[in-house]
Amino acid sequence: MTRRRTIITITVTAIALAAAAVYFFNNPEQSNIFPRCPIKMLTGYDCPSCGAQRALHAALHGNIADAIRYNLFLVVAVPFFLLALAASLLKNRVGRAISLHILTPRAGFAYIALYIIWWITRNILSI
Amino acid sequence: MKNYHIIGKDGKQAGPFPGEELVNRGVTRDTFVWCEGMSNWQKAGEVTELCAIFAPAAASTQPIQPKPAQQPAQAAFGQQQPQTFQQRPAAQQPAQGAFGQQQPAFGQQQPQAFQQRPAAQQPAQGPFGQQQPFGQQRPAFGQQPQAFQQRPAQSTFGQRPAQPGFGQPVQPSTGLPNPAAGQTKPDSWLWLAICSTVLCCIPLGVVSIIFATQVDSKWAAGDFAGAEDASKKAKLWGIIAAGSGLLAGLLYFIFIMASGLLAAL
Ligand SMILES: [Zn+2]
Repeated sequence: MTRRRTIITITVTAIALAAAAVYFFNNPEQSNIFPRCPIKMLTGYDCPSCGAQRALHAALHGNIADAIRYNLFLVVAVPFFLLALAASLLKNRVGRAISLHILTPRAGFAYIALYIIWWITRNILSI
Repeated sequence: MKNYHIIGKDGKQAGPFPGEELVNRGVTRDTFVWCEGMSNWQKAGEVTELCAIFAPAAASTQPIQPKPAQQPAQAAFGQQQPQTFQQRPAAQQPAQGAFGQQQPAFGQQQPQAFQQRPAAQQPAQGPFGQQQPFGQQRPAFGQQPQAFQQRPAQSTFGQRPAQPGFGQPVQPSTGLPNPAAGQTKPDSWLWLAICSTVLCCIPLGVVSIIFATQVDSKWAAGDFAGAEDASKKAKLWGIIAAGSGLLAGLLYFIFIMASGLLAAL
């Protein structure tokens, strides 16, 4: 089981590093190697994730303000993701406390609700 | 000390109260208590943390409830105890381990955890493998006395991670760990679920988040099987969602590269 964990950790880290390199050296705004959002192409509406690739490029270059401008929802998603990552990696009291008291089913529903609200408002306000 | 829920002598739940207060509230070693992190209701005397609050004298003073430790004949206990539980309507069962529930229902949790836990999780099945009445379809507490008939020797219970069920003879002061302690909590895979919501695979990611956040609350409620199940589903949907997002990106990348190459030729 621990060996499996190691394999998963290495694989995920490798994918993340590779992706970070690709997004660091290529600007999604100019390059055409990045996939276009299928929802945007089909419907013309932004999906909740639209702008995430440009935001990632900006964030990797230290432009946090730009990153947030591209996709405001990352302000919610990134901390939530980091907490979830900590809950999975930390097998100690802290990790358990995070998963038991912060990442509750209610928090999951709140995240989904915010996600949908964000999806609607960004298309109304064009942000 | 942690806060404990207790089962009063009227059979009703109360609390949570700080561990230090329990004696003042009439809790004896034989009162069933539960706190967050425990897989099931346990006698206060068997909770390691609470051992300190019982002075030696308190052990023998009048107990709140008649309990097996005070009763000479086990069989009498077996007949008496289940009646309390038979009255509990069966309709309450499905609600077990329901979304967001934090606390195991008194006395109901037990059979479910045993019966549904995957076999692989129980390396030390012990001699009860087939005989265990728990292996049957969710035993109602009224059926519990079977446990006594089939129990050849008390000592064998010690081999299984101590799980003092109601109507089951509780070994006095088992220093054995909780069943939860021997088992590792399944991972929630929430990080993957969140990734997949951002990787443009919206519906699958949402499903994954719902399952992922159930894992720990179910585990804390003692619903090990439910936690295991939620973990598997969260992982499955997370991998499908994030994987399809990655795959689509990769295929697109290959497509662009290939067409670029073709154009250059
Ligand atoms: Zn999009």
